[in-house]
Amino acid sequence: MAVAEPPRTSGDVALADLLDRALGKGLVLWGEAVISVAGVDLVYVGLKVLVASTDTAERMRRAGTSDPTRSVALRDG
Amino acid sequence: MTEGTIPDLIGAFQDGRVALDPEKVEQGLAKLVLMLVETLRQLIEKQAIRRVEGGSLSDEEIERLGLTLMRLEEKMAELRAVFGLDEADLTLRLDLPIETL
Amino acid sequence: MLYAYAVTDDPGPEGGAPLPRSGILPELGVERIRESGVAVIASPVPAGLLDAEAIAERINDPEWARERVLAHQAVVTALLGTAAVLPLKFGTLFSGTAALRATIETRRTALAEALDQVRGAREWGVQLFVRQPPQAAPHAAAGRAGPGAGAAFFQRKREARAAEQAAAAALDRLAADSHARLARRARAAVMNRPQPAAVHRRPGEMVLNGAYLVAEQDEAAWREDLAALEREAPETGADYALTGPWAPYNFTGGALGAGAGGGVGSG
Repeated sequence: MAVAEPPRTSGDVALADLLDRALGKGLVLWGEAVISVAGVDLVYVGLKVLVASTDTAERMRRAGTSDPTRSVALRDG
Repeated sequence: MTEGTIPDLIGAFQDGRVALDPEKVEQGLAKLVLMLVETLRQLIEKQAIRRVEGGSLSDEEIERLGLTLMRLEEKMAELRAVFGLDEADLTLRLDLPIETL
Repeated sequence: MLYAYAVTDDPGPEGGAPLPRSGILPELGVERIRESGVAVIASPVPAGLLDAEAIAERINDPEWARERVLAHQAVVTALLGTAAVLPLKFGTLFSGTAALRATIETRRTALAEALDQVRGAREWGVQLFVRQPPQAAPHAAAGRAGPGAGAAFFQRKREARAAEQAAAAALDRLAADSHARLARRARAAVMNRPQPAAVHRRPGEMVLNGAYLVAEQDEAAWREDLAALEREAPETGADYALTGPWAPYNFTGGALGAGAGGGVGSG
């Protein structure tokens, strides 16, 4: 059995890996009752200075604009 | 050597003031100019190569074009030497598909 | 309002490992909400703390944003090893418990399947960095004037490009072979786009950015596969980097839209 190692949380490389996962991957629960953190778009605005990952940016942009339930969700709040 | 990113080069200007060391300023500007010139040179070279391989040029035209590009390449090497920069220093990191242009 | 971090197995009314003490904001606690056979790990958020206005105010502060993402990750990581975990994408807010329960209830089949896919396994990342050997001085032949020098210039460029293409093809093969070897003992595997140099800031170029879902009983053997790759890597210029263990961000099945029936793929 491999020794458990906590993911490195310091250092630029680990941060980029973490951001790619938490912002670019992970389960997405869209639905009428969900308010997505004005989210991914606003978060990106703040994080663009942290990571220049064009792929994450691309996916976040798409995630922020392509879901038809999103605008409904925001009004739900 | 340092990464050749434009923000690095204009770092001296971030405070809104020019760096006090005139040599550093000159070096930064020279590097920026040479980076742009080198990018152009590479584009021109790639264009020329495509034309040559397209088969529409005569042997004489190819010879002249080749000599011109060769001299351009040599001049660039001389300029780099004057400022103590190597090829890697002048690579413009844009993450653009320049190779496909 | 509820900020949700992950969906896990339902440990029962009294069960479940202790939850982290603080959440996305240090003053928020972390709770477990049991619904339709699963559990959602979430923090109740007082009104106004994380609404659109509050976020808009703080969002241009990269420090604040980074702290939030790290806090999200810390909660998710704390759940590893205690149960099957489906990490949620950062930034999932529900208007309240009712909304959360309704969302979960609608998707219970797909969620159960997604949990089955990841149970007993952990995600590992493997990146391959390659440093190119310094190119032979391209100007060695320059300056040789005389007849045919112009044509020779183009010949030289042709040869250089052929060499570059061969080198690039070799790198692609190395990345693909490495991925295939690492995927063999994994339950699932994905190749993500390599990060640009400005992001990874390591020497060399990232040519593989893989994620592998490995069952815990296969971990030792899988690590040995990686070790074998490292031993076989060319002596100079190729470095494998292992990251993890991660919660299975790459293997949650992606988006579960309203009424989605399931169909969890390999990410």
